[in-house]
Amino acid sequence: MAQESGAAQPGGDAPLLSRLVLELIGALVVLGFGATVIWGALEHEVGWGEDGPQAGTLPFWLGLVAMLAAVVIAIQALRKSEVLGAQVMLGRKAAQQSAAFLLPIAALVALAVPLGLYLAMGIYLFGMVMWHGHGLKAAVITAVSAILFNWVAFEYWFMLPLPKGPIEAWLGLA
Amino acid sequence: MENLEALMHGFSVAISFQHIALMIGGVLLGILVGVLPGLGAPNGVTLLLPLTFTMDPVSAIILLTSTYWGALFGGSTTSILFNIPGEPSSVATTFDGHPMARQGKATEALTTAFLSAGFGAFVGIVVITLLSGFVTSFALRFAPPEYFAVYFLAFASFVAFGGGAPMKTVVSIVTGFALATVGMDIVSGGMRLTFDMPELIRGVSFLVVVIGLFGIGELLLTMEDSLEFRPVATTLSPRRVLAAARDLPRQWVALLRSAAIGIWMGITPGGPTAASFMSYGLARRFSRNGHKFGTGEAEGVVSPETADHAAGTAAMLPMLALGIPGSATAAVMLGGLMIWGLNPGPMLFIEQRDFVWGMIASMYLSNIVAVVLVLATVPLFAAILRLPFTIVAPLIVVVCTISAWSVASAGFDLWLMLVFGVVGWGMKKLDYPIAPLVLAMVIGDKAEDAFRQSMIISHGSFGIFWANPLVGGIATLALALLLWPLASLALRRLRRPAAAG
Repeated sequence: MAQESGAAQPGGDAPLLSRLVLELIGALVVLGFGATVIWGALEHEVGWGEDGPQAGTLPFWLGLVAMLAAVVIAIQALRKSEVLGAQVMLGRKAAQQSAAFLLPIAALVALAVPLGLYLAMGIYLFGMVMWHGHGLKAAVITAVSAILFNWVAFEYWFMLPLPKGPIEAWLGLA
Repeated sequence: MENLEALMHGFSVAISFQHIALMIGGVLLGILVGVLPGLGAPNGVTLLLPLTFTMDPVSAIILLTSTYWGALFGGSTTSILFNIPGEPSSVATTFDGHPMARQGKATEALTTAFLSAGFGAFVGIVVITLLSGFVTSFALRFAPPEYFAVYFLAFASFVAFGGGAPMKTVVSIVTGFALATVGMDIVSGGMRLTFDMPELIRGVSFLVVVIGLFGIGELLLTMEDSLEFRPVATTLSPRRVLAAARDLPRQWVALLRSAAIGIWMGITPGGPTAASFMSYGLARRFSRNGHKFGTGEAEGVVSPETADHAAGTAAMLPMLALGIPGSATAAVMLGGLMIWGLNPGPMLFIEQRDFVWGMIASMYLSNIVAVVLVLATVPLFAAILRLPFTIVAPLIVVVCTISAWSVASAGFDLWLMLVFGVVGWGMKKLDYPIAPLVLAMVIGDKAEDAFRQSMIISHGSFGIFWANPLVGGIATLALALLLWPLASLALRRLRRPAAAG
């Protein structure tokens, strides 16, 4: 369903990014990635030695091919700029919804190690469920059952301990 | 006959209480993963992979393949009932499956979908069984040049058949390869692309990348549209299930045609998604009822479903026999094989007979288990989708985060997951194919090693790739496929002025 969601934009959403702009951003990212790879490859021998390619050879050429492909993609996009410029790929509301979903994940990731993953997931789930207006009861049930289920599953069944923080230490569980 | 004997041996390996329990568990988890939008088969298998590290390989592969079948079935359930494909490969099932359900024929649509999917899978496994004996016959002739030629062929066929814009497929492959080179270089011992960051020394795990690209990326896309489930009645009456099952053999033309398409697309790395679309398209063109497609034709459900599952199972053969996965999910399983200490390739059929034939035999069983379970659990899983997506989505995020951590117990991997989530969102928006990236990450190291070993053997001469008919044939075919998009472009350019004049 991924491919389809771009084609049909829900009506009433103010346009933010056209396909053209997004294609060019994509090409720019690939260009930057290619340059980074080449930069990294140049720390090694990139030539063709007696025994064939050296440590840097493959990454060097990969970076070069990526940069070339990025240029071709950008040119292809610019040649169709009128068509692509009219295609709205991302509306303002859609972007807000995605960002509002992405930023809490970033918070979860940032808190997972210092606070421990159990506490971080509890806060994250509680916050998300509350914020979407499902009420305190639903939020507490979701957060607590997730923590308990994962604790039993990962600490006992799979024997694959997850990161723990000050709370677990204070409770004497870590 | 030799194959039949081997298969019987496989059944003796596969049939045990523990394995059947793993099949049931795997299929149920798979259906759950398939039903939830945002979690797909590649991701579901990736999430389970860290749990299999301590299992024996036969149990591990049974769990993962059962999850895969379950996910393929689960994806169809939501396509038909909710018009929401739980899997990219079941998008084509929505075209006629959902209209059928809207007309009050949900039972018929689901039964038809599951049974034709089961048929497709069965044909796929029979083909694997028959071809496996053939694989062992050339196993011993495989040396580094042959391996490299085969890897090269896999990538070339992605460019030719993958369906995406060739340049974007190239970017995807190159990115995957570059990510695979990060970390210690085994030939020279040097640190490559680590930029003095200690976290990068052990390399970038393809599992974390898959979790980001498929899991977080898919959720971000889903979040853009406000999801509205419009469910239809979900009770299945056994009598109507049987009636629909009796009607299915009338679709034998569609069944056989779609199975053939699926097997072809599974063995060449087209994958189940491309197979289901292609099969639907061909059915609409050649069927007597083609003009009625889109309004709830049973044949419009049979065609994509059969091809989808035939491709899913057939993709296992090149994965085992050549180390080339025919789908993103197979690529993840291939990574699993290497982690369990198995070496994919033709030698696997000689050295690991128990594993290979145990897996093939288990595929017969687990598909039967899957058809029964998926029919039995439709009401249960349909109920899960009644939960608000704004609660389900954060839970999926937590599952992804835990899995990303469990790969290597590193906080750095969580950030990687996040970054690749955004990358996956962008790739799907701009139609960059993701499967080639995963494939390149999984076999990138092996392909480079095979290439460098070949170069060491030949003292830097490319002639080694045409040194004997086997390697020469594969290498020539690969080059032809790689140049195919260019050639077809040139042909079109040549024809256009001719047509105008």
